Amino acid sequence: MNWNPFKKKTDEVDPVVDFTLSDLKPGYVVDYDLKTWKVTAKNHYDFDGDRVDEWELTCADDVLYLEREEDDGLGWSVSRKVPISRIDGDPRSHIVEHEDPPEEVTCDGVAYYAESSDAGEFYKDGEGTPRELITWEYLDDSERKTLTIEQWGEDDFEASVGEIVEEYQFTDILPTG
Amino acid sequence: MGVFQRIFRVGQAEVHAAIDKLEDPIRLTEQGIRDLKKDLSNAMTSLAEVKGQGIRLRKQAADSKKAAEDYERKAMALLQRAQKDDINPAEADRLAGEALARKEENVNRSATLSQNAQQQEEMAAQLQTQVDKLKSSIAGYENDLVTLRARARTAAATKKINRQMAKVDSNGTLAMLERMKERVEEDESLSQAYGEVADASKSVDEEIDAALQEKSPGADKLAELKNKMGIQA
Repeated sequence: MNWNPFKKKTDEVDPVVDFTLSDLKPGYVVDYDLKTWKVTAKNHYDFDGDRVDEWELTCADDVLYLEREEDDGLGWSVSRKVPISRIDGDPRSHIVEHEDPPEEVTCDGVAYYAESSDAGEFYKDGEGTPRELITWEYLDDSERKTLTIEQWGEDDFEASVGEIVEEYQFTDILPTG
Repeated sequence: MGVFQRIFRVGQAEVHAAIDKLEDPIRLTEQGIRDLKKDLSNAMTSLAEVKGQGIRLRKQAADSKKAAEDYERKAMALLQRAQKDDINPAEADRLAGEALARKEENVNRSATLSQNAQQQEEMAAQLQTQVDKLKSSIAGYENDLVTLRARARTAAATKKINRQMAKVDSNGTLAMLERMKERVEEDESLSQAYGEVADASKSVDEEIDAALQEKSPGADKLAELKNKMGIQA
């Protein structure tokens, strides 16, 4: 029997009560933009060693993607998927013809300018076999609004629009067991 | 009061005194804060679950509402087609009726789900109040702990100094110095006493010899004056 009454009891771990945005996991709940969101998935991208984490946030009538990127400090952004047809100028055909979308695109009346492009891998739920993708990132004049075009395979395109956010905009992070 | 009862009370008092000695206020406060944090962690988890349930119900209610709208649209489309003779009017009426029945089902389901979502949201608000209260209590106790630690350190230091002072006063340096002073005074008294005894034990011969040996300090001056006056010594 290993029981030793004189053995010093190790200190109990302090229960965690202060969560940060980076602690988000599926099932957690967070408040943002006057709505309560539930984390429904956590994925990540790997762009040649540069990791980008992505959380899928769901509320009653909306789905939001929160991204964290380490690039000269921690950067956060949120985006919503939009049909690529909403982007003026048919970027799909442009990519097929020129292997790149136009330098400038317009979506819902906002002009966006090419910022960067990257090839990487996407890990659904952070595990399993990755899917390869190419992304093109755009920013508007204010450099706060974002637009992303993603190419998955030969002819599968997705687009999303969003904005740069700050960590303090997210409050009341609550865990689940 | 019976003897046994008195013995029991004495024992009880001793046990209480022993436990009082074992109680470290700092450690107990730290443990109390840890316990509160554990409660808070559990409350936050419950709150997350209730909020999550509310979101799910709201989403289901929205989906049912959308389905109801779809069924109504379909019923209208069926009737329009029947008007254009695209489908049999009787069949269109039957299908449109079915669609409207499903619309009603979805409207009712949406209302029930919205009501449940409302209840979950009210429960979440209550839980949120408790969580905020707990958070505030923990923050208060953590501030108290900082003060308590400082006070305990001061008390420990004061206790140590007082204990040292108490020791010094009874049999420490001060007492030793007092003893040394007394001993010096004793030595002085002793030496004086020896001196007096020595004076008292001088013999007559010794006194005569001493008188002969001793020259009066004014003898020379006296001889000099007699010589000046022409008086023979």
